Amino acid sequence: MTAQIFNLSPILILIVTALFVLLLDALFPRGDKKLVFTLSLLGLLGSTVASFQLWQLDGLSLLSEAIRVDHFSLFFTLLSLAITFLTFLSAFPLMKENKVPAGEFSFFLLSCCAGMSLMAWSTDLITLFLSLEIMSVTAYILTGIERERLTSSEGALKYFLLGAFSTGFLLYGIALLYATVGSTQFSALANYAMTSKHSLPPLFYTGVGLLTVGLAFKIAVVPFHMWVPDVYEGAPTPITAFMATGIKAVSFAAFIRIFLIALLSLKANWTMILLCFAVGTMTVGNLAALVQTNIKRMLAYSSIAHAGYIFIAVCATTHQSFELSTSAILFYLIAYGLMTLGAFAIVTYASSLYSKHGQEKNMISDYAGFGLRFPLLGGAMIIFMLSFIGVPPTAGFMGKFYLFGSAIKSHLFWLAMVGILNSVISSYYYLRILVAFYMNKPKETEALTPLPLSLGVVIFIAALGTILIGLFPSKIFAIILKTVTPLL
Amino acid sequence: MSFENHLLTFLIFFPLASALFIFVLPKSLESKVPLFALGLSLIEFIVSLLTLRSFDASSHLLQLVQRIPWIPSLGISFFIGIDGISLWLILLTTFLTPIVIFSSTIQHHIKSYMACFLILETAMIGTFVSLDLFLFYIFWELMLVPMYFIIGVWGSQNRIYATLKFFIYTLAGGVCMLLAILFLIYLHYDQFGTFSTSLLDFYSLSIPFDSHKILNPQTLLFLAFALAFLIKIPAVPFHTWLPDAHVEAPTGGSVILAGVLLKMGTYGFLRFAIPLFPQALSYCMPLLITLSLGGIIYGAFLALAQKDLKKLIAYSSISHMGLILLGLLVLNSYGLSGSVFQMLSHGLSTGALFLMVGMIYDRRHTKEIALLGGLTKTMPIFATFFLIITLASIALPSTNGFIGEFLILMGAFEKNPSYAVLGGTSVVLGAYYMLSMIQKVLFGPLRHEENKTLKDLCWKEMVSLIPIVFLIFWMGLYPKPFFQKMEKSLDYLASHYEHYDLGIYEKKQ
Repeated sequence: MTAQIFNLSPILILIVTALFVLLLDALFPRGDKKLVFTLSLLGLLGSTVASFQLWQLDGLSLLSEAIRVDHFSLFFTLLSLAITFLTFLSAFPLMKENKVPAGEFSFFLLSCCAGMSLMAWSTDLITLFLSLEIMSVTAYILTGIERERLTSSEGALKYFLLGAFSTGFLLYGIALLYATVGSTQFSALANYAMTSKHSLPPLFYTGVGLLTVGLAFKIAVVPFHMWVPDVYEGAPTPITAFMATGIKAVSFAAFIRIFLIALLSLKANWTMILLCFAVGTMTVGNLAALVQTNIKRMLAYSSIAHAGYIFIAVCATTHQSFELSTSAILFYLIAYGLMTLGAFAIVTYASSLYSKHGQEKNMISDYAGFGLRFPLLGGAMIIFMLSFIGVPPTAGFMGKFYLFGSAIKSHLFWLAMVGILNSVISSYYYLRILVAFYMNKPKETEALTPLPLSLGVVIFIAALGTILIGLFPSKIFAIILKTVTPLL
Repeated sequence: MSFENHLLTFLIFFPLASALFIFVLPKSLESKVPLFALGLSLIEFIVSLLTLRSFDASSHLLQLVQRIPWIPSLGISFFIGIDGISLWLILLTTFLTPIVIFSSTIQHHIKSYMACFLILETAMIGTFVSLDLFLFYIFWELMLVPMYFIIGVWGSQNRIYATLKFFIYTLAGGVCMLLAILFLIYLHYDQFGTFSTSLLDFYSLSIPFDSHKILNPQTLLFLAFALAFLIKIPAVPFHTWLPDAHVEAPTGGSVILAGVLLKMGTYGFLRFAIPLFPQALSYCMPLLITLSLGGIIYGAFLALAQKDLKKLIAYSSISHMGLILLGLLVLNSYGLSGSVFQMLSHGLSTGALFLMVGMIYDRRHTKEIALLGGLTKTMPIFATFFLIITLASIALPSTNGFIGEFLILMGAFEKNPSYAVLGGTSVVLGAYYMLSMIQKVLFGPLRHEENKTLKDLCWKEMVSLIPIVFLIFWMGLYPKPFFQKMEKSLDYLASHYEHYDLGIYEKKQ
C-alpha cells in the first residue's frame, strides 16, 4: 500500500496542495495572496521532486493496470508541472490585482495539472475519461475565472458546451469499445486489434472513431477546432497559454498511448483520416491566422497550425519509425510549449499596459513600436516569432527539423512539402507582429507600469530555453528517445 | 598552427561578439557607437587578411578546417573550411562591411543598425565557410533576420512590403532546400548506416538518377537546392523581390544585398548544387541556361526602362548576375574563373554604385533620374567617382568588370557560340542604359534649381569610395594574384565536377 502511495505521489501531492490552498483561502479570505501563491509553487516543486524520484523506476503498472508509471508518463508529468509553474508565474500579477480570486485560481490550476498528469499515466479508458474530465472541467472554470470581463464568461460557456458535447462522443466511444472488447484496458484493446486482424466488427471501428473525435477536440484538430479562437481570446492570457501548451500536450500523450501504441497495428486502415487531419489542421490554422487582427486570436489559430505540424509525425509513425516519430512529437511539444508561454507572457504584459476599464486591448496595431520601447522584451519576441516560423537557431527550428525528418524517413515527401509550404505562409503573420513591434510608428506614450518580476522570469526562461534547445538539442533528444523506446 | 585552426571560427564569431558588445554599451557612449562598430569591423577585416597568408594556393583542398561535433546523434558537426572559391567571398564580406558602417548616415537607432550589420556579417561568413549542410542552412536562414530588420526599420516609404517580400521569397527557397537536406541525411543513413550532414560525406553519396523519368530523386533534390539559389541570385522569374528590396533598403542594406547576399546564390551552385547532383545538372542544363540568358536580356531591357536610379541598378544587377550564372553553368575553367572574378567585381562596383546613389539621395532626397542632371558642374568630384564606377560596371577594359565578363563570354563561346552571342547582349545593352543614365544625371544643363546648390563629396564619403576604386583598377590591371588563389579549386571543379570529392588539406611540415 505504501509503495502504491509512493508511486502515485506526484499526483497526490498536487491534489493535497490544491485542497490545502482552497481551504486556506476559505478560512482566511483576507489573507495574503502571496502565501497561496508560494504554497502552490511549493506543491509543484514537491511533485517535481517526487517525479524525479520515480524516474529511477522502470515501467510499472498500478491499480490493476489502470495507470502506468514509466518514463513516458513522468515526462508528461514534468512537462505539465513546468507549464503550470510558468502559468502561475504569469498569472501572479492578475492575482495580485485581484482580477482573479487567488485561492480558487490556484486550486483549479493545480487540479487541472493533476488531471493532466493522470491523463498521461492512464492505460485504461476509464482512467482516461476521469482524468480528461478533471482537466476539462477545471479548464472551463479557469477560462471564465475573470468574472468582470464579458468575453471571459462567453468563452467559458462556449468551451463548456462544446467540450461537454465532445466528452459525450468520447464516452460513447468508450462504451462501444467496451461492448466489443469486453475490457477497457489499452492492452486488451491492443490484443484484440492484433489477434483478430481481418474480422474487426464495425462497432469497434465506430468506437475508435468516436474516441478519436473526443481527443481531436481537445487537441483542436480541424474540423474540431471551432471553439479555439473564442475560448483563447476570452480566457485570461496566462490561461490561454496554459491551454495551448499543457492541455494540448497531454492530449497528444493520450493520443500516442491509444492510437500509436495500443492500436498501431490498425494504423494503416485510417492513415487517410490522419493525413486529412494533418493537412487540414495546418492549412486551415495558418490561413485563418493570416487575416486576424487580434493577437490572441492569431496565436490561437497558430496553435491550431502547430498541432497540424505535430500530426505530420503522427502520420509518419510506423513500427519501423516509432521511436523517431514519437520523439519528434515530444520534442516539438517542449519547443512549442516554451515559445508559446513566452509569447503569451509578453502579450499578458502588453495588454495590461494598454488595457483600460477592464477591456483587453490586443489588436496587433496596439503594439506599434513596442519593441523599440522595450528592447529586451522586443528581443525576446523576436526569438519567439522566429521560433514559431522555424528559423534557426531556435527550438522551433529543431522541432520542425525532427518532425519533417520523420516524414521523410517514412517517405511521406508530399506531406513534408505541405508542412514546409505552411511554414512559409505562417511566416507572414508572425512577421507582421514583428512589423508592428519595430516598424510601425508608436502611438502616444502613456504612463508605464514596470514589468512584473514574475512575468520577466517567465519570458527569460522561455527565451533562454528556446535558444538553448535550438543550439544544443542532443541532450534533450537523447532523454526523449530513452523515454519512448521502451513503449513499443 | 593552433591560431590558424581557429581563424575561421574567430571570423565567424567576432562580429557576433562585437554586436553584443555594441548592444550593451551604456547610454553615455551612444554617440561613439559608429566609431566602435567601425573599429571592430576593421579588426575583423585585418584578421581576415590573415587567411590570404595562411592559404596555400597550390592546392584545391579544403584549408583552415575546423571540425567540432555538435549534434552527434544526427552526425551534425561545426565543420568549416575554405578553398579558393570561398576565400575571396569572405574577403569581399569583411571588406564591404566596414565601408558600409563607415558611410552610414542613419539618424535613429544607430546601435541596432550597427549591430544588425555585424550580425549579418557573422551569417554571411558562416554561409561561405560551412562544410556541413545543417550548419550552412542555419547561417543561410540566419542571414535573413538582420536584413529583414535593416530594410524594415531603416528603409524608405514602402519598406514593410519590401521586407516581407524579401523574407518570404528567400524563406520559401530555403525551406525547400531544408527538405532536400533531410532527404540527403536519410539517404546517407540508408547507404552507409550512419547519420552525417558533412558535405564531404554527401559528395560520396550515389544519389539515384533516372534520365527517363522527370521525377527522379536526384533531379528533385537538385531542383530544391537550385530553387533556393535561383531565388537568391535572383534569376528571372524569381527576381521580383530584388528591385523592391533595393529601392526600399537604406544605402548600407543595398550595398550588402547587392555586394554579398546575391553571391550566396551563385556560391551555392558552386559548392552544393553542381558537385552534389552532376547528372541532374546536365539534365536540367537547358532550363538553367534559358533562365540565365533570359535573366541577362530581360534584366537589361527592364533596366533600360527605369526612371529611378536604384531600380535601374537593381535591374542591372539581375542582368549581371545572370551572366555570372551563365559562366558557372558552362563549367569550363574560363567560365568558372570569370564567374568568381565577376562575383567579386560586381560586388565592388554595384556596391559602390549604391553607395553613390545614397550620397545623391542624402543631398537631393530623390533618386529620380529626371530630377537630376548637370551634376558635373556642381559636384565634380562626385561625377568623377560616379563615372569611374559606372565604367567598371559596364566592363570597360582596365577595370575589373572587363576581366570577368570577358572570361565568362570566352567560356560561354567555348561551350556554345550562341550562348556567348546572347550573353554578349548584356554588355551592349549595359553600356547603353548605364551611359544614358550617366548622361542624364551628370551631364547636360542644370535644369533644376535645387541641383545648383548641391555640395560636393566630403572627405568621409571620398574615403569610403577610394578603397573600392583602388580595387577596381587593381583587379582590372593586375588580376593575377586574385586568379592565382582561386584557379586550383576552379580547375578541379571544372574537370572533376562529375566525381567531385574534396579532401582536407594537410600542411607540409
